[in-house]
Amino acid sequence: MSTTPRLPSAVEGAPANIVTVRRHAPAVMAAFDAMYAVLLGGGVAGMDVKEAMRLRNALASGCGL
Amino acid sequence: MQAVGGGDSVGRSRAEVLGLRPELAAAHDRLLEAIWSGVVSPVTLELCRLRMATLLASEVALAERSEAARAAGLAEERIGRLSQWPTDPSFSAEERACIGFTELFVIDHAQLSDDDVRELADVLTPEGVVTFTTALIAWDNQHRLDNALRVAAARG
Repeated sequence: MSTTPRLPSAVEGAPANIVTVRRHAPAVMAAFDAMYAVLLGGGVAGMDVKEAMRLRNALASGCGL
Repeated sequence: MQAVGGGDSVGRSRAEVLGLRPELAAAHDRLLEAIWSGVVSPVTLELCRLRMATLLASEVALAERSEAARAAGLAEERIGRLSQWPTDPSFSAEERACIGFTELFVIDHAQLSDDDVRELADVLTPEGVVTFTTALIAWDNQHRLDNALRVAAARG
């Protein structure tokens, strides 16, 4: 599975990667990151369960990251 | 059916289910607000949200409508023709690119190509592509949550 970005970097002089590509839409990604932090940081499921689900989902969807 | 927050989710609205974790519901709402107030046309977003809801058989999402899209001129008559988007001339180049991308995202996302992303960037700009694909992620999760927990349509 390829992890080569299909969009350019939004940061001048920096290579395209998951951080610099997301910077094209900083407000949207800030809201996404805030929700993700809530998902990871609280609730009744432990981090071990959440990480297992994340990795299972990554395998099922072919995400190389 | 899996219990949610000590109760059964069946028959509850999405807001009621997400409200079992208020901070998560608030963060989810802020993400959707950021998406709908971003650079992508609300009409394009709504057409793609509804197309995804059709493909995922999310009856709750299909019954919902975006006020922003309605205010921007999206009528029920055109929503009714959404499945004919490949040949219906009322759909713009931007809408076609986005609906086609949405369909492949749902059906077989591994087949999305460099050309598909390039076409999307040509009509949306890179900022629009990041916004749009984040919207697809949010709706994909939302529709599947609705179906898995048998969320009911909002009342009133």
